[in-house]
Formats: sequence, structure tokens, C-alpha cells
Amino acid sequence: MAYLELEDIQGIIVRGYGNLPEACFMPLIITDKVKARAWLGGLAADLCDGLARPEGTAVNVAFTAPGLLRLGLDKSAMANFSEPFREGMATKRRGRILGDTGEYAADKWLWGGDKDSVHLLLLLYAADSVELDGLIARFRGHEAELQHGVSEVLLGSDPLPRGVTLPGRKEHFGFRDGISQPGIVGMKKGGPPANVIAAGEFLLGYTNEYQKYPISPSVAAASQGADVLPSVPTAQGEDGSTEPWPRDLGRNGSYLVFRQLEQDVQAFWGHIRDSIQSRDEPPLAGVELENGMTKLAAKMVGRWPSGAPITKLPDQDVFGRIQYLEGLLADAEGEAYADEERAKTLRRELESIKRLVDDDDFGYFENDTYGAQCPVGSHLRRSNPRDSLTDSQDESLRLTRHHRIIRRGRAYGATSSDWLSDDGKIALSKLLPSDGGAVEAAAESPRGVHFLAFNADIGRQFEFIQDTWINDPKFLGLYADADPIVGDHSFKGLPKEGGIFTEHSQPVRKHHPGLKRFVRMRGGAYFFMPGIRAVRYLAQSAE
Amino acid sequence: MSVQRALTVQVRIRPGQERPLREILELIVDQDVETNDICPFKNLVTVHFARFVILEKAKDAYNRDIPATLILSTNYDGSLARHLEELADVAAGGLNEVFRHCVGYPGPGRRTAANLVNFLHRHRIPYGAFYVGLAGRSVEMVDRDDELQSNIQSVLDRDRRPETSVGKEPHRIVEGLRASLNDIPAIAWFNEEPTWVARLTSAAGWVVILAALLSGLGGVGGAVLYATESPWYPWLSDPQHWLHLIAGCSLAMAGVVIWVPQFIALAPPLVGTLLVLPILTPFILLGTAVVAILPGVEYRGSLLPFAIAPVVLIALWLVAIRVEELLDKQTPVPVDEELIRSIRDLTRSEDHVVQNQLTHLVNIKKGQLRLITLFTFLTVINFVARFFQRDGALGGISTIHFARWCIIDGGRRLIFFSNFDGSWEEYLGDFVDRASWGLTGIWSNTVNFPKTRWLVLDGATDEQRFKLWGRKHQVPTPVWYSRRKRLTLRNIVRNRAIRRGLFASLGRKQSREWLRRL
Repeated sequence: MAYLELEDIQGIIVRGYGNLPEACFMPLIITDKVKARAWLGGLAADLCDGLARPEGTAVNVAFTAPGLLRLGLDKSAMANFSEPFREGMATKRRGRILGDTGEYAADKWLWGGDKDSVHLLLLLYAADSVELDGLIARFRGHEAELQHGVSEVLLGSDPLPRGVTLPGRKEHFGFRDGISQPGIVGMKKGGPPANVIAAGEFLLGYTNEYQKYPISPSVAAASQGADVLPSVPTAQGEDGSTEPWPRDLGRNGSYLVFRQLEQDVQAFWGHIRDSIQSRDEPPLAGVELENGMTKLAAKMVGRWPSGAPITKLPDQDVFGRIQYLEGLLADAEGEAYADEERAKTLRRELESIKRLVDDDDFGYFENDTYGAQCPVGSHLRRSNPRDSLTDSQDESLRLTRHHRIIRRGRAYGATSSDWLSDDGKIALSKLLPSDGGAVEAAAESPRGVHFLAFNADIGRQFEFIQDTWINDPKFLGLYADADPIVGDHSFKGLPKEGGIFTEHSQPVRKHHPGLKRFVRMRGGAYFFMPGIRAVRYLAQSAE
Repeated sequence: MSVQRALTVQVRIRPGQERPLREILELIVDQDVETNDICPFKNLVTVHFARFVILEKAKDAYNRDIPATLILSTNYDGSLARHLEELADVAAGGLNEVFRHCVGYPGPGRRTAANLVNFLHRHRIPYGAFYVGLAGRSVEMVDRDDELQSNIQSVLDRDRRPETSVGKEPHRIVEGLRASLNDIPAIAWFNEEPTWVARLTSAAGWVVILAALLSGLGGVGGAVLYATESPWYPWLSDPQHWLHLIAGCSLAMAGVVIWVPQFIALAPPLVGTLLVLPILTPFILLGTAVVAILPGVEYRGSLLPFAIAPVVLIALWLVAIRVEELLDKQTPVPVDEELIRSIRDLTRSEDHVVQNQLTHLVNIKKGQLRLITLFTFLTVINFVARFFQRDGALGGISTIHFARWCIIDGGRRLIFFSNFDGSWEEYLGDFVDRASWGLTGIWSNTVNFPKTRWLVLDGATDEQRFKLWGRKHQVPTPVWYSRRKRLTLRNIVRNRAIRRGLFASLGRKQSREWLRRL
């Protein structure tokens, strides 16, 4: 038997469905419990499992805590779900951890902000928009509601905007996204060993990085339909002396963090421009300004727009270098001065430069200790400090393994203009055409990212990253720097005049003050994505 | 030199007075913990952290009653007498209002400041182990260092390109900074406190360990003399003389310890310190025993049993602990309605400022064995924390400002107070990831703790269950005050380095490194 029970694991946890670029996420509430259960029973057969890459379309499903109760799951079974999931994302307490405070607090969200307002989430993926329309039609509308006993949360207003895949796999600020992803023990695709993480960090029912089984919800063997569920593994049951819950509801399940994050692209780049122009005398303009802006933004992100890590390529994005090498290569291959040896070397170098855009195999400890290249406060370094968390490289590598998540986010909304291109370049002049003038408020349709992350312990993984690494203005000894891209700059009562971004330049650091939030939380919830057998169980569980 | 100390006062609450007591504590927080008129903590200029905790009526591991008590806990600079005086000066009236609900508090006519001081003094309780994140930094130094740091930052922010005005050379920039800072009268208090304190403290730690090793060697040497029938032999053959020898060594070590001001100031009652010595003496005797049983050495009846006894005792102790562990029916902390509710209550007051606090109270397991083990372990931790902490970090954890364990209620419960940076999740995670041995050694002697092996293994590494256990025994802290609510310990350490560098003469390379800290 294979280590991972892929036939029971919902597919989106173990693969990203990169071949299905169209996506729709539907938050639903249950209007008729009996119908909803029957519908779920049928849906279980259609759920995409983890065995193989899906072709055409894929459907997955996840539940909130109120959703599970609404379906009729016994209240006592809720005890062993993780506390953040049970409590839900929208409380004040979680708001302080997540940075959902003040005007970003849950009561300002478009959806998910009210208790008991979301029950389940359908995740629909398709190869093209026609297929996606077909898929959506199965679940949307009055007919579907009557039949399935579920209704869309956002029915009255606009539905959740569809997921899109932007040119060059970018997010809306113009940076290649989704590069860094942990490998899972038991899956073929691994990557560097430091990046392959125990399955129990993402899936219940497997040992985690502490060689322990994550606490998993379970139900009494006697409860109706429980025989479809596996037994609690013995090693896990050992400590329960009387073993009252012998059926494992959690096995092959994972907690799904869903956050609809709206991005204010104009404001972000406008701020970058102002920050550059207020510093340099005389103010930069034209290409120089654009290069300066790109570099500052890249310092904040930690990668260049192409995706190349700035710690490896500190001066400029890959394009200049590629162009330069291609020029040399053309010469070397040219009739006049043909030099096969040299051409070979150049081709190799060109290859390695091009590979940088998906590079995830690097650290900071040895060559970038103080953040001279990739600043300590950059988004990339904060969301995974890799080998530079403490003053011991080995210890850092060991500790960061406890705080990884699988990201499955998708961008939504169209780009504001055609400033992103497939080759990974960005055209800032198209984005901010009024050179030097005030940034016009974008009156277009909203855009952003549906952030999806999977983990087995929301508190130790997603929330820890968000609180201790992203939002903490004191991250690794900094004074007032929250994450420049997504951080909450008013965190924990620090001065409200906006956050600071510190660029560790030589000989003296540069402060870029007055950071605002360019990413706005619009709605979301903590879900649990059960194994497929557990979905079947939920479909038939008793009152 | 400034010394940081800990005050813990525990008083029984008079029957029926818990509710009015709670009300007055709530009033402190409702009005604002820093400026309220009951106890305006911010006016206590030598207090880093403070808290009031109510320990409700409870049962110990034997199911015997423990009455409700009130705890006042502070971390302060200077002497105890000065601290109590300051408390009385700033808040005698308010503290009267608090403590009048407690047993033994003077009657209405006799509530003078002097009586308050007496009362607090009388109800102090000792700690088993105490940790100071950055020893030697008084409230004033912490505040001033930060003021200096932010002054430097604003000079740099104003003059955004210092290298254009004074050149790119790092030491030129530092000089330029010094010059512009001298213009600011608010920081004209520059002078650096001596740095020998920290060095002396860890030196003293080594002296103690060396003394132990030396006496161990002495034991071995003595046994050799004995075995080879040297002229000293008759003297050594008398166990009485051995006792004298060991007592002499112990006293010498105690002497060293006492002469170090840092240590004596922070030490728990002397008995705790001296307890280190009985732990070390077995090693002395072990050396003797090894020599005494060497092949070819004639059996010397008077020495051998004496030398072997401690080894046997340690082995018995280990076996007893292990047997107890094996017999211990582990009861994992059940997640029930009560725990969920209490977690939500506790978390309501978390993550409002840079630090969080933890008050954790748990019953000590039944039996003297566990109590003695716990006491010993706390003493060792206290010793390590005192002498071998690196600046601002204990076991690699660099977020703890102050922490302390006290065995209370006549050896029945263990209470833990901590003031730390960052979230509870991060703190407990650090416990698991970086300090699980030491903490397991302490807490495995308390009830409900995740299953352990050989006292220090497993336990806290059962991460999720350890965290649940932590929450299960955490108690609400109705009043908590942090003087440095915007400064992490890392900030404080960094501020100190910035200040030291500014007033040292730095070379080119050192200047560059110094600038990197900003």
C-alpha cells in the first residue's frame, strides 16, 4: 500500500491543477439539511482525488465548523478539530492574529464576516471557460438550490469573482507567484530535501514533523455510517486509555484557509513611485525611474517580477542579462566568429539564468545574512525565513519546517491594462501612464487573489506565519516593519503613521516610511477539506 | 550597576471577599493599567512588569482543599526595601483597597504605608528558579537606550543621504552622527555602565563548576593516597574526615557564590543555592569509588560503602522515576466545553501589545519523590539561567524578558509567571522546539503532563498535547502591566549595542557593523 492514501485525499491538496487555469470558488450555505446530505452523497463520487492529474474539470469540497454541525455531525465530534477552525476566522481574537483589524475587520468584509454565514466551499476547476460555465451551471441558480439544499452565500450581490491565471503566472502587482511550495513526503515531486515536509504537516492521519499524529476528529464506531471511516491508527489511540472514538473522521483531511484579498495595484505602484521620487534629487524620470521602482518593489517582495530571487540576482531582473547573453551567443554562433566552446558555455549560462524564475533552492544564511540583497523585512523572507531564522543555520532549517503551508491561490479579476506579458516583463508606463501625476483611483472591477492554503494545524502554521512572521513589526529584531506587501502596519498598538520598510543598503540603511495596506481582506473562512470517505460519512450522518 | 529582582506576594483572600476583590482589579484595567488611580503602574519608575492574579479555591493532587489566594508579582530594579517603599509611595491607598480583602491585613485604623510594607514583606514567597532576559538593564536604561536609538533613526531619516554630506566612509558617517546627536540636549546623559558584571557572573559560574571538579579530583587523589598506603592514610580512613573535606569544599563554593553580588542579589533563599552542592558531591564520591575498586587495590572496608552509596541512591532515584512513569496512566487533556471556553477567555486579553504574559498553575504529582525532583531541577535551571545565559537568550529563546517558577501552597502546586515577546503560539512552540528537555524536567513532576521517559525525554515534544496542557492549566491574569509594551527583548539588546558602539571608538570595519544595526 502506498504511504499516502491518494484515492481518499482530495486532489487540490496534493496538486495545483496547473492544467486547469479557470477556477470558481463558491461559498455556500445549507438551506435544507436533508437535501444537502443527499446531494453531498452524490457529489462524493464526483470529487477529484489525488491519484492522477485531472483532465477537463475538477471538483473539490470543504466545510466550515458551522457547516459540519448543520449537516448533523455530532457536537462531541467537534472537540478534536483545531481551535481556530472551531472558532472561525471572523472573531476579534483571530482578527488580532491575522491583522484583520480596524477597517479591515470582519464586520467590513463582503462575506464570511458573520457567524454561521458560510457552511461549505465548492472548488471548481476547468481547462477553459466554457467547461467552467458548464460546471458552474450545475451548482448555481434556483433550480440547483431547490435540488441540493444549498445556496450561494453571495447570491444577492455579485458572486465571488472567478479565478484566473495571469500572464507569466503572476499576481496582480506584477510578480510571478506560487513558486515556493513545500514537497510532501510520499509524493513523487519533491525538490531539495530541506523542502520536503512530513505529510502530517498537511494531512491528518500521518505523522508530522514532530513524529506525532496530529490531533484528529473522530466519531463513535456506533454512529450511523461510521463503518465507511477508517479506524484511528493504534499509535494515535494509545494515549486515549478507553478509546471512545475509534473511527477517524479526520484522516486524509486538511484545513483550508481561504481569504479573498483585494489588491490595489495603482496605489501600490504609486506608493513605490512616490517613495523613489521623494528620496532622489533631482527626481528620477523615464526608464531610470521605472528601474528604480522595479528594484524597490522587488526588494519588498524578495523576487523580481520574473520570479528570480533577489538574493541570487541583486542588481536587476533576468531580462537584461538574458538579452546580453543572447547577443553574445548570436555572435558566438555567428558565421564570422563561430566558437562552439564559447557558445556551449553561454547556452549553459543562459539556461541557468532562465531557470532562476522558478528557483526555490536557496537560503540567506551564508551570503545574505544581514539582508543586503534580500531585506530581512521582505515579503519572501518573512513568509519563509528558510535558513536565517536564528543564528544557527541548521536550527533555522529545522524550525522553519514547522511553519510551512501548501498554497493553492488563484488570482481573480482582469489586469488593469495589458502591462503584464507572458515573458514575465512588466510595463510600468502602461500601468501609471500619467507620468509624475497623481495616481487615478481605479474605477474598474476589483482584482486580487483568492488565497488558499492547506495545513494540518492552523495555529502553528498559517496563523503563526501571518502573526509572527508577516505582521509582527518586530520580526527578527526590526523595530516597526510589518510585511511591506500584505502586513498590518497598525499592529499591536504601534504608531499609526504607516509602516516602515527597511532596505539594508550600504553604508546606511534606507527607511521607506508611510507604508499603507495595499491588500484588503474582503472575505474568507477556515474550512476543513475532509477525505472522500469522510465526505460520504457526512452525507449520511444521523441527526 | 542595576540588579533586577522578582517579588512574589501570596495572600489568602478572606471568605466571601473574592467578588469585591475582582471588582477592584477590573477597575484598574478599565481605567487603564498605566494611569489608574488605584495603582498607576507607570508611576513606578523601577518596575518592568507587574501582575495581580487570583488563584481560586482548588484541590491538590491528594484532593485536599487549597484556599483562594491573591498574588502580586513584580519585576523591579534595586533593593526589595526600595521597591516596597516605592509601591507604598505611589499606591498605598489603592493597594489598601486591594489587600483589605485579604487575611491578616491590618484593620481600618492601622492601614498606614508602613503597615502595608510590612504586610507585603511578610507574605513574600521564594522562587524556585528565576530568569532575567537581559540582566543589568534597569527601567531607566531601557527607556534611555530606546530614546537614543530613535533619535539616531530620525537623524538618519532627516538626512537621507548621509554619505553625500560626510562621505561614504563608515566611520565618517558615525562621526557625523555623533556630532548631530550632541546638539540634542535630551540625550546629554551619556555614560556607559560597566560591562564587567556579566563577565563576572559567568566567571563565577565556572568557578563553582571548577571547584566541584577539583574536589572530585581531590576525592580521586585522596583515594589513591589511601590505596597506596601513603602517610596520609590513617587520616583518610576515617569517614568523619571525609565529611569534613566535603563540607569544606561545599563551603568554599558557597563562599564564591555569595561573594558575587549579582548572584546573591538574585538568589532564592540560600538553601536553594546550597542544594547545587549535594548534587555535585556524588560526582566527587564517584571518583573515589572508581579508584577504590581498581584491580590490585586492597579492599578498604571503611571507604567503599560510603563511596558507593550515592551512586546507588541516584540509580534508585532514576529507577523509581522510570517505574512511576511506566505506571502512570497518562490522561491526555480532554478538549471539552470547559477548556474551549477557558481558552477563549484567556485569549481575549492576548496580543494587544508587543508582549504577552503567561500565568500557569498546576498541581505537583503525589509523593515526596516528585517534589524533591522538582526542587532539584528548578535549582539546576536557576543555576544555568543565572550563570550561563547568553545575552538576552535562554536555550536559544530570545523573547523572554522575565520568567519565574515558584513552588507554592506548601509544596502542593507549581506556579509559573512569564513575560515574553510575540504570541502564545510562538512561545509554546519555542518551548517545544528549543527547550523541551529542561521544561520537561520541571513539568513532568506535575499532573496531566504528556507522557515522559527518564524525566526529561518526550513530554513537551508531544507538541499539540503539550500546548493543550499549557492552556488547560493557564490561569487568567486580571491585571497585567508591561513597561516596555513597544519594545521586544531583541530591540533592547540591539539598542544597548547601538549605544555602546556610539560611545566606543570604532574602526572602519566596526563602524560598518555598527551602522548595520540601525
